[in-house]
Amino acid sequence: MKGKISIFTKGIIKENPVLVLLLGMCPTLAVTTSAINGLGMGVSVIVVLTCSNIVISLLKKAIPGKVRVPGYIVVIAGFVTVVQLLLKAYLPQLDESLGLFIPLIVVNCIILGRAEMFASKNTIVDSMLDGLGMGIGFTMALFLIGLIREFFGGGTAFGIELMEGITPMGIFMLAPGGFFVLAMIIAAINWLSKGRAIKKKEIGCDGCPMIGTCSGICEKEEAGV
Amino acid sequence: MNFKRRLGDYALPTIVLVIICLVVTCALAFTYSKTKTTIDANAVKTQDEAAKEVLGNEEGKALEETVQSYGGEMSVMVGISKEGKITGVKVISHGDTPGLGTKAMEPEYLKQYKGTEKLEYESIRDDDSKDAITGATISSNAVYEAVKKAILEYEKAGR
Repeated sequence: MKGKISIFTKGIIKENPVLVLLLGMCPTLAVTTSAINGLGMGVSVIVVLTCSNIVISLLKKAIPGKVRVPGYIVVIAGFVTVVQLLLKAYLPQLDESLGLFIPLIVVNCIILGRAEMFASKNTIVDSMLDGLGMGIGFTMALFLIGLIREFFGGGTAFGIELMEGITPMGIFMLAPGGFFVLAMIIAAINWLSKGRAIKKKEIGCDGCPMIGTCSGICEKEEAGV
Repeated sequence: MNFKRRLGDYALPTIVLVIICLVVTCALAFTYSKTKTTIDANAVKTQDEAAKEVLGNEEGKALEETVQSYGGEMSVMVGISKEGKITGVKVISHGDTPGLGTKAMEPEYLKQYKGTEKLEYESIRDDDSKDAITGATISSNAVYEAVKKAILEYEKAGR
């Protein structure tokens, strides 16, 4: 039982996909201009990640190695489209705020990465727990960043005006603000974990579309880790 | 022996992919059919709300124009008063980049069209009376085109 719990909790703090594994940076920076947007994107990813992990684990013996990436992508894209249709129908405002970033969930490194690294090699229940944990970790990170950026950059939280009369620092709503807040939070985590967070990383390079140009794996080898 | 390997290398992966795609397609078709009515109703609601918003308190007509923008079609609701002046402009749908092209759709920016009676230039760049947004010139021009179309349609209908 302890093993199951740790599969679930590792995605939340120890191997948080955004703050420790540094995956899914693009939606993280783009969508966190408000707490609600961050939360909305996070929950969408929880749904897609958990469902795709379950299905891919179910099919792990059925998909031949040669076509596993196209197979995974079709499954993931299917779930993303279903989520998008449901959002368009029942939460149209969220769909409008997140816009193009919802279909972009298909190429979110986290989802393909977990499919490749975990779901294709583990049981259905474990894969589901992994998906849920990673998804919740992603959501918490996005919610935190979104809340900070919304507060400092707009003076609001969840759209509610909090700092009447004080002009907010607009730069927090723009790209530099996103990078800045993300960097501070990652630095805080590394400081709080006394540097342990950097060393324990299980990055799935095989499924990542950046495999040709990414320097991550090389640095890992050079450092002898 | 050779046949079995051929089966494994070519036939099996293909069959598996076809099956996966078939199942996913069915799931998508199902979800689409279940959500279509709600999505269409939402679109009509957005249109109605936009029409009310662009006219404000004035009497006139709200015209919806569709133009080509950076990321596909853009739908713009344009309100024209009885005197033939623009009362308001609102973008209802688009495929442009959130944060970039959408800068040309903000109420603060669209205010510049209020009171306009004629738009006579080829593109927004040639028109000194209208500003375009840097980095969103295509989206800005799409809005310009939409307002131009609305004015033309209004004039054709004989005011």
